[in-house]
Amino acid sequence: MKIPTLLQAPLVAMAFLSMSCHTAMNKYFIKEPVPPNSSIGIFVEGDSQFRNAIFAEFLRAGYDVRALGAVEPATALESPDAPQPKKAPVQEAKNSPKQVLAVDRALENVHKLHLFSLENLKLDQLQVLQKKLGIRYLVLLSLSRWDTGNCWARAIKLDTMQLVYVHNYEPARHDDLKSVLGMMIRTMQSGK
Amino acid sequence: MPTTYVGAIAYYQKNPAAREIALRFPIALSRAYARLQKEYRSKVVYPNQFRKLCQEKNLPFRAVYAPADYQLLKDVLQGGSLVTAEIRVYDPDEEEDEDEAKKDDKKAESSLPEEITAYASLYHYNSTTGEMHSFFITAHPEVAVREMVRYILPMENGRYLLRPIATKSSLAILSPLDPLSLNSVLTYLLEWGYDVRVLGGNDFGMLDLSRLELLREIQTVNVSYYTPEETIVPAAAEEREFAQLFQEKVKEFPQRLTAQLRALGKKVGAHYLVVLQPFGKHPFARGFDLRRGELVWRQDQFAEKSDNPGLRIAAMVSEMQRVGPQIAKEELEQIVAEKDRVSAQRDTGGLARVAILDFYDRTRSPLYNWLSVSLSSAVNDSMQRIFEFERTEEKKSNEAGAKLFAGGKNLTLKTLQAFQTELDADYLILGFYSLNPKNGNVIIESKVYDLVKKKEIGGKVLESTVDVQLFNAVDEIASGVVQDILQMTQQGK
Repeated sequence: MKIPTLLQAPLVAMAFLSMSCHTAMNKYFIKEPVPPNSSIGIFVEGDSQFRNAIFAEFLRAGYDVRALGAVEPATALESPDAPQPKKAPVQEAKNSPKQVLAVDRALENVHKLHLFSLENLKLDQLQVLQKKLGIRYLVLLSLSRWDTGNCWARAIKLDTMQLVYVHNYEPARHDDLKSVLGMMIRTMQSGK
Repeated sequence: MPTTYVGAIAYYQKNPAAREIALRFPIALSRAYARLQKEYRSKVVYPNQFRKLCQEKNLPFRAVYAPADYQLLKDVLQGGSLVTAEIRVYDPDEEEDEDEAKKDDKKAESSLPEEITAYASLYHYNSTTGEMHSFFITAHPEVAVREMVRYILPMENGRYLLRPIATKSSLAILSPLDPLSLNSVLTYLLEWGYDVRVLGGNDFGMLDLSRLELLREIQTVNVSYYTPEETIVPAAAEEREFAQLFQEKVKEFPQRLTAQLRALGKKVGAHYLVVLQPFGKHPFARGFDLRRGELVWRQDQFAEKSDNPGLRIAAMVSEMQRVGPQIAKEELEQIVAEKDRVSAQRDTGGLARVAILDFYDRTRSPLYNWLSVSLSSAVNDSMQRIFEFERTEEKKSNEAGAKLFAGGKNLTLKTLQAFQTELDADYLILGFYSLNPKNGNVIIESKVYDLVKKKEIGGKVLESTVDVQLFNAVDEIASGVVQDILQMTQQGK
């Protein structure tokens, strides 16, 4: 089996999911650079000041930035009343075991369909971003915990829905927010 | 070698295409297994042998079983698998008593096909794991058997992979990972060369593990994976609401899910969706072909025994690429079409000579004379479709049989030897039929002899009501003979 070359420090890299992994990490993949003059939408967590600082850096880097707010598409779509998987209430006196079984199965199927219909809705939203706002790339950034070692970014090319940039970065001692963001932008633009 | 029992294959007798599919499917499956690599081969037990086992143990022999039946069958299956099927063939030219205008209206309203179409429901039960897969295949009758075998063949213990999800495929992923971990998995897939499309990764959220668990058992239109349940048949008139709920949310669920999957595929531009759940004691992986909206990968067992989710995901990605038991479509078509050569047991090296006698009528009624030739013709037709052999001269064979066997009562070593000498035959197929005095049903018995080895190698007894079921019985007798001879030729290899 051919192992992807970047994983030849082998599966230590796949131990990412261990909460106790503290090794410094700068792992990224670029399928294609996100050119500086592209129209991009940015989803980023944080308060307004924080987000403004982020947008400013992207503007300085030459991007045509469309601010999309702090609300992620999933949050916008996911209502607190979204059904959680549960069993049907059993009314033993009224319903036969077969009916209870059928209702349970029906509920399960509703939840299954909801899972996929939610994903469909999220995709519809992304298509709105592309068509109505003319956004070419969607960039997701999580930098709010940059000082505790959790930074990540993704970029999606909206006309093909391809993932073109993925980045996990654990800031080093000398890093600050600007340097982390700058490094990510440079990586996105240059592909290196 | 594991065993796959082929059980009842129910079909609507009226259509000869359905009968043909029922005849050929177990044979094609057996041949296909024999062509696979050693670790994937399975011995196939044909329907008539399985029926005998069920009769011996007083167990039901049917195409669709209730969960309790599968528990009972475990003793017979002994760790093997059971495949049953229901086949229907829709032929628009056979629609009766409808004028063209009505037919057109009907077609416009419904989704009835315009040309002859076979619908096959296949049920595969693994008695070791208790798992059930079902397949619903829609195909032209000429390729239905090939498709049925193609869907069943990739079945392994703990894994089903209809086709590998190869690198360079475009795929989307659903997995209950935090964004950082999801990034690592996305990177891993990109490095493998997958064209990754984003689904469930275009936000900061994390998919709820309990919701993903719902996808462990899943039913799509063509392929389903589930634990056998009681068949639910709602429907008293006063339970209208319940019936409607059942219709929409249960019966139509596979179609609705398939529609959702296809819509996802179009929007995200991905050919596959993989669901990877690496946590806990029971990780699982599922893969969907978004173009067809069908389940193509199901795996619940992995070589990676560590509970590290990262290593499990690496194992899952490896597994979705690993080619399992598969045969290319073109080769499968050849397997379905080929005939088994039944070789002569003498030194001539030619084809075996097989005597097929008209069945002996013991009914003492002129009403059933027609069965005699009908049975021998059905046997001959079935044999001709599956085997290469030489049939002995009919008139001469029947005359010799009448002289020696006294209506089937005098089947001794001596008379069989005399028959063999006179006809120079390798095999003999004959039978008789009588009436059950208690209920008026027809009892048909067939016998198959290896005349050179001087032994009985097969046979079947069937009882049928005297109505359209009798035609089914004739077909079953013919199929049974074919299966007996196949079993014999395969054991001889």
